[in-house]
Amino acid sequence: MIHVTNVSYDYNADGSNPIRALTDVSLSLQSGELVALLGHNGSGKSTLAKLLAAVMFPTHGHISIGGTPVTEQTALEIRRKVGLVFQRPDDQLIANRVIDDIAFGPENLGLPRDVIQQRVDHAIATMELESIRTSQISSLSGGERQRVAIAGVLAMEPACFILDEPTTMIAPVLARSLLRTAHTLRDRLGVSIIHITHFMHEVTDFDRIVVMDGGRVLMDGTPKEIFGRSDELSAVGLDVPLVTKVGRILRSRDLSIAEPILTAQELCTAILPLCTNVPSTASAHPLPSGPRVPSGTPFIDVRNASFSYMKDTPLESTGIQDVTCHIHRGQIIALLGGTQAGKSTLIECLNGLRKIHSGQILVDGTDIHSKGYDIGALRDRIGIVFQQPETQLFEETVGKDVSFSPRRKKLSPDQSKALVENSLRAVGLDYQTFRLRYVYALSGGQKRRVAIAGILAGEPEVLILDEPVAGLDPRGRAELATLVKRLARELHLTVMIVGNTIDELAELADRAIVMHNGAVLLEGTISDLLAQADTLHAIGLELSEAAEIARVLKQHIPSFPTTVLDLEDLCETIGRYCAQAKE
Amino acid sequence: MSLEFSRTVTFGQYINVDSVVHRLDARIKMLAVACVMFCTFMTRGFVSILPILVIAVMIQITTKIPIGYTVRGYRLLLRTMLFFIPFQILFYRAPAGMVVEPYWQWWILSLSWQGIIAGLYTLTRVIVLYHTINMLMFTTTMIDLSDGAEIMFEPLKKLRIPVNELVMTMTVALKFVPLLITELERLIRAQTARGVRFDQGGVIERTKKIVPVLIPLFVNALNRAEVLIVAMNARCYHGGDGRTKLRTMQIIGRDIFALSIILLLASSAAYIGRTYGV
Repeated sequence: MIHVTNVSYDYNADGSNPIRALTDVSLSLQSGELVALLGHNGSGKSTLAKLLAAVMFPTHGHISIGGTPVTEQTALEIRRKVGLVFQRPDDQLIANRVIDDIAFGPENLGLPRDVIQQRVDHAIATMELESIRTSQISSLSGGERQRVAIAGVLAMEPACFILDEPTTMIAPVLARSLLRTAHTLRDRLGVSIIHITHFMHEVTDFDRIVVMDGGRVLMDGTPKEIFGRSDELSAVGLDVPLVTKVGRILRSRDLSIAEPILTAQELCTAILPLCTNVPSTASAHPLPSGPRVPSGTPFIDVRNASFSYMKDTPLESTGIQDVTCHIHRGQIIALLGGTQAGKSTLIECLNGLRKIHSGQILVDGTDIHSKGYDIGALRDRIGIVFQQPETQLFEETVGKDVSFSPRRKKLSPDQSKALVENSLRAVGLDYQTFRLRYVYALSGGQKRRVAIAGILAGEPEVLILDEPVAGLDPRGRAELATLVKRLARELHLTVMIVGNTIDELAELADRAIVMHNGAVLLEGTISDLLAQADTLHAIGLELSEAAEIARVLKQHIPSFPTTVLDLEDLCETIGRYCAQAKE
Repeated sequence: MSLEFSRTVTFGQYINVDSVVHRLDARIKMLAVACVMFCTFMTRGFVSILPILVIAVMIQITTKIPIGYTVRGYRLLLRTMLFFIPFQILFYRAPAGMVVEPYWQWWILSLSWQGIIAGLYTLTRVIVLYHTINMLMFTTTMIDLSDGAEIMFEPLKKLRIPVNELVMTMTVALKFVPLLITELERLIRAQTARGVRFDQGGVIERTKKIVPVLIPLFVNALNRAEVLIVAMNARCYHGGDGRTKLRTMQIIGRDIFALSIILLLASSAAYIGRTYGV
């Protein structure tokens, strides 16, 4: 249905300095195919998507869709056939209400009213938006907005959907539901779907995977074929799903497992017959418990704190409810929860950015809302790196932005310089190289580092990082995770890491607090939490890939422990369960 | 200081409760508001403005919007007015033929009972005008307003004014308002967390503090606008030509009924004002 023949694309093609984004790409896609387009930032996958949706046109080569060549003259016809879903739903929602936004596309097509009505109703039914059909879009959650965005494209009845990295910016639980939707649309409506993503584990059940690198198609095949070539993938810095790695490791330990394994379910089927050494009781191998709550006065002591948004208006909604928790000096705390759990609200209450409506917050034993308390000084002590802090940079150059706090405190130039230098070094950026760089010319990951350095330069006693790796590609995530781990260990600060996944960052924590619907649900060490994997799964808190695999295995092997932290741990445990097969 | 602007700035906010006023046709509401505004300008004093006040109270009650929420939105307006009204009272000049006995007089300044009444009357007028528009915004979605405007200004197309495009531009601009407010709150929170005190310092100092907030706000807004253009193109938007509409607007009995009541009251206010000048 889609034929791409020798297509190249240059940004700024007319200018003196064209930048090549695609080189000689050829590709054919059948109707009804569920295709994943994988690659790093800059691999050309988004450019290809825009060419297919006729919002840009090839510099060289030829694209045809359903027999129609893609040119500026046929653009309208092509856009009708190819629907584009953007990364952030806010970017593509146009009207104020759900129903009006879904009608926007069909209205542009000039369809008669009853046809529009029919299509809108159909899209609403397919995307399960009945209950919010007349709601204001600004009042919807992120997941709902995403569904509205898809419904809006659906109502145009395209033959092909292109999902342009829709899972990068959203919580894992929403990403999963989005992928289920993609499958449903393909199965029920027979449309083809091109899903662009960085994440391997999302696409193991797709029909086909196209891997792009440096503007070219690197591989094209079924998931089994692609993930079987893990060496070639890692050569371009791409990874295979963790479960595939588990399969390989177990195989290298002489367990007869066919390669490649793509899902936890497959792994389960493969190892079940080999499990000869299943202990009858539950986990005989608990992880060593981390340090318990230290005694003494907590540094930050939150007592029955509650906060509501838009209080006393018809639009009131709960932020946090009756939260009690303690943070002791020098600890690393993980604050975990799904979407709308109240995590961000809680951290904004901690330094008085939001004033709690009832309860108390004590810092070093003093109520921060008591009369005469110096809240400005408190904010210097509690440094918060907000979500996507790179969008909050405001100075021209890196040096200026990082030195903002020292300058505000009127420190001497020498002191200020030393602070900036140390802060930049702490985030892995060289002072001399980056001091005069323009902020807007940095990459996303670098900007985020600069933002963190800006907070460090304020010499906080507590460093709070709100979802520090969210919205980055896997390479950026890995780099930033390494950085955060190093900061947490080396700076001897009290650190709080906020997240929606029990990932390698959460695992650093001495203690974790799990929030749900604005209240504290669980508290304990990470292994305490992992033991209750099913509860966490139910409230939309994502487990690490290893723990998630363990959770699936546990459904078939009831005694299998879910308290595994990483790949190593998981392979070790499976190895023990299959001990006899080894001999 | 409050970091929740959306909580204190109520103007332009649509309040999603179900009431008769919410269900009235947007064109009727716009006509009624225009009529009330026009007639308010025709009133001359507290007697003639009385029917207008009756309308204002009637609307407030029938919309089912909590009175506290409405009143909270008037704080800023009242504060501004309290600054200006004393000037009006002090500079009051009686109309020709009216005898005024001021309590106090100096140069062109004076303080008289009539002056105070005139000041209060001006305040009432301003509040009524603000209230009427506010009620329209509280009870009518943007899409209803823009659809209504599109139909009402349809005749202007003959003058080659691109009504559809203008209305679309307005719709998109208004879509950005809540997004930008959220963004502004987010940026101010981030700055506050870095130690900036927006509630301290003089006017110049405060203005200086706002600049670092505006830069990322504009940069982010421009980026968003660029993506939105692509998104609108991808959804086949190509101007108003050949565009159809899902929504219909139909004027029914209750619309006519509501408009008649308002017309009757408002015109009586104008009549009293014109004829008796009170």
